[in-house]
Amino acid sequence: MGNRITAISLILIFAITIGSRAQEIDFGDYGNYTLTVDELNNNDLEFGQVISGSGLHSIGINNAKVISITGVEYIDVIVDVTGANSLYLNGNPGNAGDSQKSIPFTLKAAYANNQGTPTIGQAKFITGITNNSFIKQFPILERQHQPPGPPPTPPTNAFDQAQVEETAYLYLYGDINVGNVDAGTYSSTIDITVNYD
Amino acid sequence: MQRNLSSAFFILMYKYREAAKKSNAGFYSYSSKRNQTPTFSGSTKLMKQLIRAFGFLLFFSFSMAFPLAAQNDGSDVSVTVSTSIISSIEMVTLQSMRLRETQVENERIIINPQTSNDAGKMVAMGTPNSDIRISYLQQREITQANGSENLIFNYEVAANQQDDQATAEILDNENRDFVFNEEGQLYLWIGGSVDISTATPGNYQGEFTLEIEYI
Repeated sequence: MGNRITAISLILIFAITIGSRAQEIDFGDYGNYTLTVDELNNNDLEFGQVISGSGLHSIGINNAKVISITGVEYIDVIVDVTGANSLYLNGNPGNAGDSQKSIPFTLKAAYANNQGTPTIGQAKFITGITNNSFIKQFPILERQHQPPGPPPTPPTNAFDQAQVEETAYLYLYGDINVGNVDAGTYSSTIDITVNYD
Repeated sequence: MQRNLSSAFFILMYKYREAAKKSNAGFYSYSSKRNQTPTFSGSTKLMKQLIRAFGFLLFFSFSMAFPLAAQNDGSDVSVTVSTSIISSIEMVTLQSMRLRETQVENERIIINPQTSNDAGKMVAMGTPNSDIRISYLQQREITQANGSENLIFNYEVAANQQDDQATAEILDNENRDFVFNEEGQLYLWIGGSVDISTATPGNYQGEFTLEIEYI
């Protein structure tokens, strides 16, 4: 009788507290790691001076805005990017939907996490960008061509992150399609948040 | 967070047991003999098992419900996407330049772009308050309409944000940068001179090309 009640209790509490969980260990949760996100080139993603009604203008990956992500090489980062669908006259989102005062913008993105200094040639293009927003997970240093090693040892006081630090690059670029819009300065913002997995 | 809750739970359990020891009452029956295994009645035995089971499960569930808080804050950065839109530049001829015999002086026809009523007049239209640069070829050929004779015409141009010829500024290599006015307009007057001392009488025609670019 006692065992039966205990078994029922076990099932109930597991059902309440566990739910369904993927079999995954987020190593980033169990150590005091630093993560630095910076702009490699401090300029805006700038399309320059464009004539009204002139149509499609593109910034390719070679002229992309580059974001550097520096952290522990063997831990994944989750990059969350949210951008507006248009550039707005005077940066005012209130102009959304006004074809005279907004310019459609299509965000494109890629990342490079090869060993050494990341290069555009080895960049991986990010697909599935919807409404100029996406979430992408990747290790700061791409998996090397060898079997995966054991899980990392949780950091102790002797842990020196500099010994296992690498930098990945995130490239942001894209197109604008300039219709017959009012003259002036158009802009909008792309927000990037990076966390360890 | 998880550690605190787990500790709190064990402290509570410990205190409960201590209280039960002292009172030696209720469902928890305890032997006072040293080195002797405690004995329990049937119903209290069941309750003890339940307490142990729930104690373990509560601890376990705390562990699942409160994972170690991440110590790594995310990093944020914002990127501005921008462009500057300008209107295409349009030019409208308001008046063509007129060459007349009465303008001949010392075998030259001279049309002063700042004062002559025969000067050509144009208006350029673009993005208001934009900086622009004006370029033109100062010398162009004009050709006899029914012949093959050519004359060299030396153009001279004056520009003004206002529709006022008298205060217009003469363009030269050091002064060819201007600004569209608040309505996006710039007025231009075109004059010049031509030597007709060796010219054959007749009608002459030519083109004048002026280029305006945003800077």
